[in-house]
Amino acid sequence: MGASLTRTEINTKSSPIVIEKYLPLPKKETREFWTDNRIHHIRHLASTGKPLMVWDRCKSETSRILDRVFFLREIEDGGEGDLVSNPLDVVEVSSKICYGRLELTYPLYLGDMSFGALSGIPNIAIARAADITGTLAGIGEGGLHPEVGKCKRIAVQWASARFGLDLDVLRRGMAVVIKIGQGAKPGIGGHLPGVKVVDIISQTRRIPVGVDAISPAPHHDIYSIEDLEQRIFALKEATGKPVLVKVAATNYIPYIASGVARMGADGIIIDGQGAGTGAAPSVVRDNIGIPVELAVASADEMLRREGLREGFTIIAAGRVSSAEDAAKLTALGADIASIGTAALIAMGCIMIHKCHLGFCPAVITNKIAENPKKILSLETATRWVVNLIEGWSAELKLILERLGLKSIEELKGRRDLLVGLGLSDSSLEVLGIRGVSSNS
Amino acid sequence: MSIWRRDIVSNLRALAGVEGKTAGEPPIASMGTTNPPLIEKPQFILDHIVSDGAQVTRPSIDPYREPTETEVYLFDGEVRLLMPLIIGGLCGINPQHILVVIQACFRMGVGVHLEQPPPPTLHPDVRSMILLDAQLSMPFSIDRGPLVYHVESVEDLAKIKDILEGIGGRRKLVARIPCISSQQLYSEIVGRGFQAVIIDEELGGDEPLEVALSQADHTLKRLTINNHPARYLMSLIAASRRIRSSSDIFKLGGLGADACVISDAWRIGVDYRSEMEPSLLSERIENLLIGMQREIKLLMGAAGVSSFQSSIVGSRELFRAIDLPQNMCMRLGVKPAGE
Repeated sequence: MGASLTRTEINTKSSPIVIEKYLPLPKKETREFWTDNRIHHIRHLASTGKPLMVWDRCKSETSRILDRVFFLREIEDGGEGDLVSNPLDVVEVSSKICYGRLELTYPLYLGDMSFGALSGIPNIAIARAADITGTLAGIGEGGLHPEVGKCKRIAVQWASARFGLDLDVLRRGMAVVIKIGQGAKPGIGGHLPGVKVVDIISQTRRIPVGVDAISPAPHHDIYSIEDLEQRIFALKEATGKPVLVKVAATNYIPYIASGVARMGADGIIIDGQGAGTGAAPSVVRDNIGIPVELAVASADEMLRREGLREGFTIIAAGRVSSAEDAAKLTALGADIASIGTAALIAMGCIMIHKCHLGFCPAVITNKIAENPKKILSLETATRWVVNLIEGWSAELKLILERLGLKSIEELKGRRDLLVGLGLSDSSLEVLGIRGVSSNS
Repeated sequence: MSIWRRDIVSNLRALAGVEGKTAGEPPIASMGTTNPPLIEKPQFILDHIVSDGAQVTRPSIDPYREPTETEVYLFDGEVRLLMPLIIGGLCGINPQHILVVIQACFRMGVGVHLEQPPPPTLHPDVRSMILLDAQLSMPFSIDRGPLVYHVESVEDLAKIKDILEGIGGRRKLVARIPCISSQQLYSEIVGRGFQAVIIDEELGGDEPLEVALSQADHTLKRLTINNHPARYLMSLIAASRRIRSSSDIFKLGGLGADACVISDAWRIGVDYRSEMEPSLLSERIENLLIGMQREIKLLMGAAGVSSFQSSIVGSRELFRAIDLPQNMCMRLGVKPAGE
């Protein structure tokens, strides 16, 4: 009798509940960018891999600047163009980035979420999904998870704390990302709360267990644009890989983009206000940084003016929630879009903003336990992310079709296809698009 | 909609130690912001203003590990606050608490604006940190603290001329004015020997506080006293019941305020009750103030700034406005985001 009880106990411990379904969405108490409809849309894409809509219907629910930017075609169609069909195969969405050195089957970067912020399985799912779909996954600051390290299409991040980095790790990916800043906390370093620094994280990051991992605000060997150039060249020499520089969208973004391009980087990841984070002081998250749509438009404009745009890559990140968002950012001057939060939602995130506490109900950002009660199914999570990318890209193709374009390349920098509705004169000027009044 | 959104109140209370377990520490959050102007509805111009994050072309400063200085000097260097903060709104609180608040503020290096007679037993050093309404003070008392005069117009100034002549040399004089942008009024204030202006939104006026403040900073930089720019000799203080947080104080600093008077914010933050234990009140005020100072340091460090007074006050170029019309940006002297 006693023996069988023990066995039951072992069984309970060794077989956690495997999460393969989405949780119901809780009622929201405050206004939120990731509305229920946005989450349902992403869940549809992730479950089916098929398009749900052409024009993003969720944009009327929030008032981002990008939500008030429209493709003129949508207004002209007057709702007629919203019929979803199978996209034509002739529309090409593959994209070459970093002076042609990297080719992506779909124009998406899966944005820089660290092992530690996420609890392992989501990190592996994202990296595997990148391999399956031919996209690129940034691994974030937390060092390389051994299973993620087996994937090819990863970008290894070189951030201010240099957690778990050595030459071998740096060479593992297809690219290196120098992380200078991120949209959720411009000007300060990464932050992994001590409650989430368990043994495995301690080993990967090479830091003590239970202590907050607060990365330095600046890189202490990058205090100027000249320093940045030295680091870019050192990393290129060490790895032979393209080097991207990730920055937050901040007040001086056009000058920063120009400096990054001039100093020999292959591209810039511009991460806008409202981007996700595992933990950040709210005073910083809420008061620093500008929307990515403004930043991309003004960086693109500056790079063109200085003759630095050709071949250089701009990746737009932060609140990229749909194919239409990605398409509009491309028309404003980005090469590809980055998704982070959307990928988390595809894996079951219900947006309760509790990642820093380590009790994620969707077991995405939870504290890693030795005998977890619940774990995310790696297979399902990987399929969700792959489906998201495929469904997303199908919607992107439908948008390109409506715009009469044959490829994503043809959309780059086509601000003339966009109009602003109810935007201030100053926003329109920065975006470089026409305004229309809401009556027309 | 109340200006005291739940997240704002809960942030203040976490700092004060009313909620949570990390009193005095800047609260941590996760996933993307829902702040105005793009997600929550903006209520004030401040909601459209963002600060800078330094990167690449200049380094940010790590306030956890590197020095950042929040102290400000008022009255041409005679009063030193450890952070750009003055506690006001003491009318209506339990009279027995007044001394508790004043002492807590003194310990934290924060000023107090009093609209009622000060407790009689205060040390002169503590008195020097109290901005006292002029009609409450005996003109020839031994007090050294600044005197605050309510001034709405040039005519008001003429009326208080006699008082000024009597004590101008011994007391620091503060003009408390509504939100107006009258060059003539500033010129008169400067000419009559005042050393500080409080622009107080509670006195009304025809401009938002943000605009009045920015224009005042600009005007005072142009006016001169004995060939010195008046701004260097004249402190500029912003007051409003709607100053909600350290980020509001930081942004008002950028628009020109050397310091801000907060009232509702601290009472809400410490969950003020007239029957509360003095020791608890004192502890919560100290937690709130040190927490707000740390938040200001985070914002400064992120912007790559090591001194609040030298590099934040009046540094409109460091800030950007999201989704404001061009003419408002011009009146504020703040560029639109992306420019």
